Amino acid sequence: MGMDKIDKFYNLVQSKLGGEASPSTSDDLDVGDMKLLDFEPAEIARQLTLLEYEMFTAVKVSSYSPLSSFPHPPHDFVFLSSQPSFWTRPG
Amino acid sequence: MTSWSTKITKWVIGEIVSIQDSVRARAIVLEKFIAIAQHLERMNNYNGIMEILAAFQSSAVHRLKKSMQAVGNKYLKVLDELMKLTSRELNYKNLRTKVHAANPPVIPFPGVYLGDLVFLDTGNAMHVNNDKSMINFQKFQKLASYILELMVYQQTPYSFAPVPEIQAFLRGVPVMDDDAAYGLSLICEPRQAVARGVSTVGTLKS
Repeated sequence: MGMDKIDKFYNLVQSKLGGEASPSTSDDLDVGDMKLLDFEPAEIARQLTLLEYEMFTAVKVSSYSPLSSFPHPPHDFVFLSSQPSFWTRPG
Repeated sequence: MTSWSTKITKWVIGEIVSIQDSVRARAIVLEKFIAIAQHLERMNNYNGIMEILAAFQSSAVHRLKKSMQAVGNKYLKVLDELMKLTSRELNYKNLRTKVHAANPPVIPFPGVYLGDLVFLDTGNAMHVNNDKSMINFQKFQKLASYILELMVYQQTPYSFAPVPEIQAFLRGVPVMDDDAAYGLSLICEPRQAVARGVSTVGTLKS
């Protein structure tokens, strides 16, 4: 999704200013010759963790609740303010 | 996230079975992944540990007995500890204890939570009475506790500096399909007859 935005941005710049847009940064990263043994295990673990944390935070865990399929709370259903509201979908 | 985990597991399998030079060369790659898994444990990335251990337990890698024998003892000890940590025994008891004791940031193994949520959802009625006027509050309270736990883990990010080159490398890792990986595994360590007098047709797939 992020890459789509970047591509759109480059297209916009190109159409407004003319000329050739530079390729986006990630295209410049030549990883073709890189091998597993080129990296320290700790660095691989760190970068893998950063990527996976990004994916983990993108998961909307509230969507796992069966209540998420309810369009509306029952009309006579009232929670006390001190209790967590299962009808709220954070994020 | 599931497809990413599958991709990483397949990449690990591919890296191991692609080493055709020697048993020792393959053992070095196995040691490398054990070291990565050990770092992932220190970083509380339990999902990452599961990805690597799933590769070690795959049919293509698990059968490479000679390669595993060439792995250093200190790495085998780490692998054994990680296997115990992620064991399915008692519904991932060790893993649950470890995750609950860990200080965030944490990336839990979502499989444990998904299993719990499905079990809770399918094993308990939505309502406590026949006319469905009262919801099963206990069920939803328990469901909410699991969901809130995951949401708490989503609040504390890691403070590592990103290295775009390595991230690009990880995003673009080659993925090998299961049959190709098993084929390469057979080249690494060909099948052996189970016992004398048993024909090669009768060999077992380990």
